[in-house]
Amino acid sequence: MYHTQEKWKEKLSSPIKCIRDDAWFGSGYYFWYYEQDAVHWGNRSKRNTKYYEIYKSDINLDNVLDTVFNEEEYIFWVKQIEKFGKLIFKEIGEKPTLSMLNNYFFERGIWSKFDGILFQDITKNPDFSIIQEFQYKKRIQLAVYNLDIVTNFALHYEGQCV
Amino acid sequence: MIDLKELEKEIDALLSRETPESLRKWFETNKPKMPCVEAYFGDGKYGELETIKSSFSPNSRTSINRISINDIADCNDSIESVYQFAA
Repeated sequence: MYHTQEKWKEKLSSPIKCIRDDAWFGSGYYFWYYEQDAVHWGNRSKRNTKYYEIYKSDINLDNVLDTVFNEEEYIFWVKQIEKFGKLIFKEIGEKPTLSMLNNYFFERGIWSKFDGILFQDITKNPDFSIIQEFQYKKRIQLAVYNLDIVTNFALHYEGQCV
Repeated sequence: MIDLKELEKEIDALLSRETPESLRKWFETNKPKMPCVEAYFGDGKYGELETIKSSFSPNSRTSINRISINDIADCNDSIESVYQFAA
C-alpha cells in the first residue's frame, strides 16, 4: 500500500503519523490501496514544496478491521456506526462528525483493539473512471494504529504537483 | 482476529450506560472547533483552506483566483465542492 508525503530533504524511514483532528479514522498512519489515489493525493494536498513522495509498504492485515472486502466485518462496522449515530441523534438531536465518532470509540478502547481500519469511499475524480459517469472503483484507505504491521517501507515514487 | 460478537457486546454495554446528559457533554467537548477542509477550485485546481471559520455566503461571486483565507466566507459560488479530508 502507498503512503503519500510532502517531499522533504531527508527520505523517510517510516510513515508519518497523521494527528489532524479531522483525520477520517483518527490518529494513525494512512495508506492508499491504489497508487493512483496516492498520486492524486500528492497532487492535491502536498503543495507546500510542490513536490511529493510516495512510499510503498507491505502491511499485515490480520488484525485490521476490513470494512472493504470482508462482509462480516463490513456489516459489523456499519451496524456500530449506525447504532452510535442513531443514539446521538435520538438523545441530543445532533449528528456527530466522523472524527467525533472515532474519538468516542478510541477513547473507550474499542477501535484500538485493532491494528488498523481499512475503509473506502468513492473518488470524485472523473479521470479515474474509464466508464462515463460511472465511478466503479473504490477509493480505499488504511488507517494503521500499530506500526508493527508495516514492513518494507521504502520510497516508491517522487512526483511534482500538477 | 478479534471476536466481533464479543466486541459488539462491549459496545452495546458502553452505549447503554450513556445518558442524554453524558452524550450532550461529550458532544460539546468533542465537536470540531476549526474544521480543516479542502476545496476544489475548478480547472483542476485544489487547495487547502486550513483556517476556515465561518460558513459560506450564498450570494457572493468572488473569483477564487483572488481570494485569501479571510475572504473565504464570501466565495461560496466559486467553490464547487468542499469536504473533509484524511491526511
